[in-house]
Amino acid sequence: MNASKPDQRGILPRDLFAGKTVFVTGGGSGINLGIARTFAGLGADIGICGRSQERLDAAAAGLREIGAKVSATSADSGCQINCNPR
Amino acid sequence: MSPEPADANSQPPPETFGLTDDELAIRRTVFASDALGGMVVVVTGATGGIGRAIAWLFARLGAHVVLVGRNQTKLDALTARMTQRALKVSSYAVDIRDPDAVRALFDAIWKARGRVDSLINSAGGQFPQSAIDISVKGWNAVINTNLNGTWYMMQAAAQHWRDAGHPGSIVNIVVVTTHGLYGIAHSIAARAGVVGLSRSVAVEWAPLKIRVNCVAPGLIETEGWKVYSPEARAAYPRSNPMMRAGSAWDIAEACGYLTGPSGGFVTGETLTVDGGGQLWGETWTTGKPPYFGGETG
Repeated sequence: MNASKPDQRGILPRDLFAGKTVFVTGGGSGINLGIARTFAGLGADIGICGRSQERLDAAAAGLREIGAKVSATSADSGCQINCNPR
Repeated sequence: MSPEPADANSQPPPETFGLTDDELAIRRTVFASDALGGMVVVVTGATGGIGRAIAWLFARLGAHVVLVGRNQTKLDALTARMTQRALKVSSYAVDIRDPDAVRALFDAIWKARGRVDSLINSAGGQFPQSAIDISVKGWNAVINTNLNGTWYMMQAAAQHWRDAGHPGSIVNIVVVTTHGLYGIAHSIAARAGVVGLSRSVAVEWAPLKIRVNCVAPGLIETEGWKVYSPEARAAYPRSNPMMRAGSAWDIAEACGYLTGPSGGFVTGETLTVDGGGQLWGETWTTGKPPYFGGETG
């Protein structure tokens, strides 16, 4: 099963989310990182969380290269204490 | 120009409804200015409230828009206003209920433009009436326009795409059919037919690289509101949990998403744009009957 390559033509202006911050749980990898990259490419600053800080740090570096300010914090979003950090 | 969510009864409804051409020409859009550049898009019902917004948006995004309607005078006026803004448009006066005319329409467009990339079926409408008293003539008129006419357009578009080996996208504007909307049973029946038809041919036409989707608007302020009574309109904010009407622009942008490369992996879908109205709210096109706690209908 081949995933066809998406059309790379940008149909949204690059500053559509300028001044906004988008938080993506599980943003360190996979579809969630793809979502984070897309929003970063549209001007948003990004928050990501996941369980592996190492993976988050690598993802954050890539997002900063796109131009986003990034907050990457390891957290288990199934645990309320982690979702309400002091 | 949505009504405020405050007490609608204290505010008389405006004299005119929906967005003007001048507003459609400059209204902010989320899309990049060339998002649909190079495409040829056919829009039926192009002089109506929703079709008109789609035509303006798509032309502003770089598409050549083929305006289709029944009234040549209205088409000419819209063409002139859009051409004044340096947008690419052409127009054809066609009755979509006539399958021969529809075939001739697509022949003419392909001959003139060499391609068609997308079809937006926005032609349609109905007069609200209690189902129990709908005449055979009234029933057939609504089915003929909203279901048969839409089908003739879909089939003719698909045949040309098949013959040219060209991919295509169809978006059918329907209504929310999962809600027992009072007074428009004939239209619900026709639109539910279009939704089912779209799901079927989304599969059958996938090998032809033709995507088929629907957009289901909820309460949208358009010039079509003039067929409803002031009493019915006054209660419209209670149609959805957002307590306001949407605009034709909301529907146009939904069509943009489905038509552009953003919708490339979406087919057979009905995108509901109704402010949550399918989950909560009430709309009484012919007044609220006593049975439901109202005084009319």
